[in-house]
Amino acid sequence: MSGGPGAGGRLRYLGKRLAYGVVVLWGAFTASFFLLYVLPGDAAGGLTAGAEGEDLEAILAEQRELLGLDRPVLVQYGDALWRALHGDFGISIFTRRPATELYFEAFGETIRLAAVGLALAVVLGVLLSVLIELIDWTWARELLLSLPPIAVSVPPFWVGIVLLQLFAFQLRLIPPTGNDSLPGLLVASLALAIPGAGGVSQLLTTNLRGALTSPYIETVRNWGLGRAGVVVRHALRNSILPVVTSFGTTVGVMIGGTVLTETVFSRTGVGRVIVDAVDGRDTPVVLVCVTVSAAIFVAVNFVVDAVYPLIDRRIELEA
Amino acid sequence: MRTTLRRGLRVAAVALAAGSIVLSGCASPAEEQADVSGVAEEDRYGGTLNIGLSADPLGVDAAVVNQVWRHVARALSDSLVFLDPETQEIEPWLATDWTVSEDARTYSFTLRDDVTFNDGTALTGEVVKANLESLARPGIHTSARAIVEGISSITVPREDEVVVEFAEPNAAFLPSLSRAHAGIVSQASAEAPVEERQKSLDGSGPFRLVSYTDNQEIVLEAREDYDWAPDYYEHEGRAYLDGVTYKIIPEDSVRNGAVQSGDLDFIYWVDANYIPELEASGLTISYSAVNPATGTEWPVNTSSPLLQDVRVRQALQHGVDRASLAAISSNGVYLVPKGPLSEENPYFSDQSEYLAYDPELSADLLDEAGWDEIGSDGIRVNDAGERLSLRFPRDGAVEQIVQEQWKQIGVELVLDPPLAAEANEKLLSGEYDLAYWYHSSPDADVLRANYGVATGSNRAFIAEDDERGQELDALLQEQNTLLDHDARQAVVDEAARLLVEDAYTLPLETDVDVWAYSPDLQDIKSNGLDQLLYDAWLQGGE
Repeated sequence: MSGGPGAGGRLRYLGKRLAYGVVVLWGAFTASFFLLYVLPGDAAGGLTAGAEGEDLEAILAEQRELLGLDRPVLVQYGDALWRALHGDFGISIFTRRPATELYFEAFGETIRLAAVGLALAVVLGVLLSVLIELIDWTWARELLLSLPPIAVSVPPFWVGIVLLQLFAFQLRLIPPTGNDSLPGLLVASLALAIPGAGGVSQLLTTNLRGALTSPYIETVRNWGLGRAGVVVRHALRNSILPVVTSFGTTVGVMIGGTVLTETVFSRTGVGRVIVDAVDGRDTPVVLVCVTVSAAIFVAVNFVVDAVYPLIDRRIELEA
Repeated sequence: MRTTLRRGLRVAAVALAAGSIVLSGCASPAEEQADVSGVAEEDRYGGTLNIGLSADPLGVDAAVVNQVWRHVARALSDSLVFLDPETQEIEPWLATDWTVSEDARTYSFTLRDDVTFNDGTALTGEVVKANLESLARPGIHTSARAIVEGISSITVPREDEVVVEFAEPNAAFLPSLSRAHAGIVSQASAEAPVEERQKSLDGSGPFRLVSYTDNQEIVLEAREDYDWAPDYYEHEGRAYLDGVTYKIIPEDSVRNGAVQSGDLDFIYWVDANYIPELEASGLTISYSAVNPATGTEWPVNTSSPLLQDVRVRQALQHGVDRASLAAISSNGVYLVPKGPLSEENPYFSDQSEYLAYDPELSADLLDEAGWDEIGSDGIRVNDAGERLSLRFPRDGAVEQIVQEQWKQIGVELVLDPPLAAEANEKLLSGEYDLAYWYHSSPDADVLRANYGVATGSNRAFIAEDDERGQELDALLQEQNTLLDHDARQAVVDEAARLLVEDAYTLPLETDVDVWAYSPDLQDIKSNGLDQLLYDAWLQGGE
């Protein structure tokens, strides 16, 4: 674009980003609606699971009528979209409560878990990377360097089970289930943070390496700054940008990881809600989950797009 | 999706077992189990029992949601009659006595006059009428609706009486009524919209619902004024326990860890693989909760061109080595079935001879039936060049073991599971050669519900020109018209024999719900698969 980084140009750019976000939201809603429709089976099948009755065919038909699943698919879609625009996603088929209520109850728990997890991931990742740069012993550095790839590749639920065994059943520092204890939240977040920290550290170490071998750091070194000062005050500032850029993805990974973490730690949250909902074809709940998740992604990326030029003035606004 | 997730977690748990041994160093030796018979009755009161659930049951009302009949619903509501697990007789509960007409169509109940529901209202004939009527509504679970199916009228001649009339004879009505699906609730609960009943109800059970937190816990507390337990129990008045908390812990290894650490007192449906570990940590393991219906069975689709010949079906029946199936699939915990009905069913008869493992006989039968050539892949082929390959809608340990056993007799079993949400429909449409089904009702009528043609689900897809099948159907329909136990038994025995002799169904194993619980927990009883908490007490009343 040619507007330059003027205020008008920025607004236009953000406006386009916003419009793009709305399209993404609608796409996510529509895709998940039809995906559930195309997938074999429906909620009526789930509702009659374990049935010991006799005329199941008739009961399935009756359930479909009750749930409005017997209407033409486009009518169902139009109805769902129209109501969703008013913030009404319908009633969860299995719990028979408003889907939005169900979701936002769980949402708070998942956000707490993911937010603490994200903070831990960044802190641990940055600490590890800085430590790698500052440590003198080759063997220790090699050891630390091997941690991020391991952290990224261990299955998160395995990490969760090990941590739970250790903290709940051996040390008895946390209750094994539930949402109500702060130590419990910290340990569950740690399970979530370990793979995230590995990712952050891998990215940061690569960038720190690049920064520390660049000419301007030579200049800084010649000013007589200590090594820690160089790494933390100068190299880190320039290397952190890609980490910020990847935040959208990191948040996604975190939210994804909550499914397993919530299962292992028996915490309520969106992760478990969405797995159960897809499992049972609970369309109203799935639609809430997908739409809100998409909204979070759009919002995070929008914010990243908006603040990016503020971190680095050289960024060209492309729209 | 959930199953694959859980399978992954289970693998992880097994992988972890080694790790956790390291972590725990050495487990504390099991405490000597104190002699409890000497604990006086008055010292048994108190304490909260913590029970682990593997999933949120989605509600507390067995009339609306599945599986809750095992535990929460049974603690919250009583039934009109009680099926005594020891004598297998129908005993009084909320009804003091009853009469049944000769034609098994009219049931008159006399009710207790001292029963109150949790909302303070009293049990009357009108309330029972409202209960039975409410079960016929859309949105009520099929298992509950089946109980009231065919009722033509309900009348209340006196305040403490109710008369139920069926259009057709229904000998199975009393055993059905004894289940938690037909637990009697207050008039307000009965008439409440289904979605309200699902999450809260006022029953007359020994416990009341205090709170329900989605995906977390269900809390019950004892009713002080409870005083109408069936005679089967060892005490009267209120339950010994002060309260019961059901904690929802989806991950097996975590539930096991929690009962070992004392965070839970009781878990059920314990996977056989975990039993040695749980036993080693001093927990009581109980094998007494046995499915009182049929266990795991595979209805055979006789409309499949491959399975119309009875000899092929019999070859499959004799091609299953049930003893080694039970040994491998459940470490010998599940029972080897002796007929289509579980040994715990009041109408059980031993039909083992038709279920004997005899691969040579299977081979002869298949040869006779024209599957006498064995292809290069070891699977039998007929003159038309068709392979004897059967499709099955599930893929688990049991299926894989049977698949391997049938390979020995030249039959291929293709495991092709549908998604959970479409399973029922696919099983009903007959697109698979064999299906599976699961029942838990403690009466012979389960056979009619499953295999009956005139009424019932006809899960073997018996055709009109199938003479033996029609003979079987006549027996299945007849047994539900007979009130005399011996007469009914004779007809059921005949039907049971026909079912397995002609292999309309392949009984595979009788499932046992393994319980693991704290040595402090005493006198928790099973009734079929139901957990009875009324007599249960905790040592040292935590």
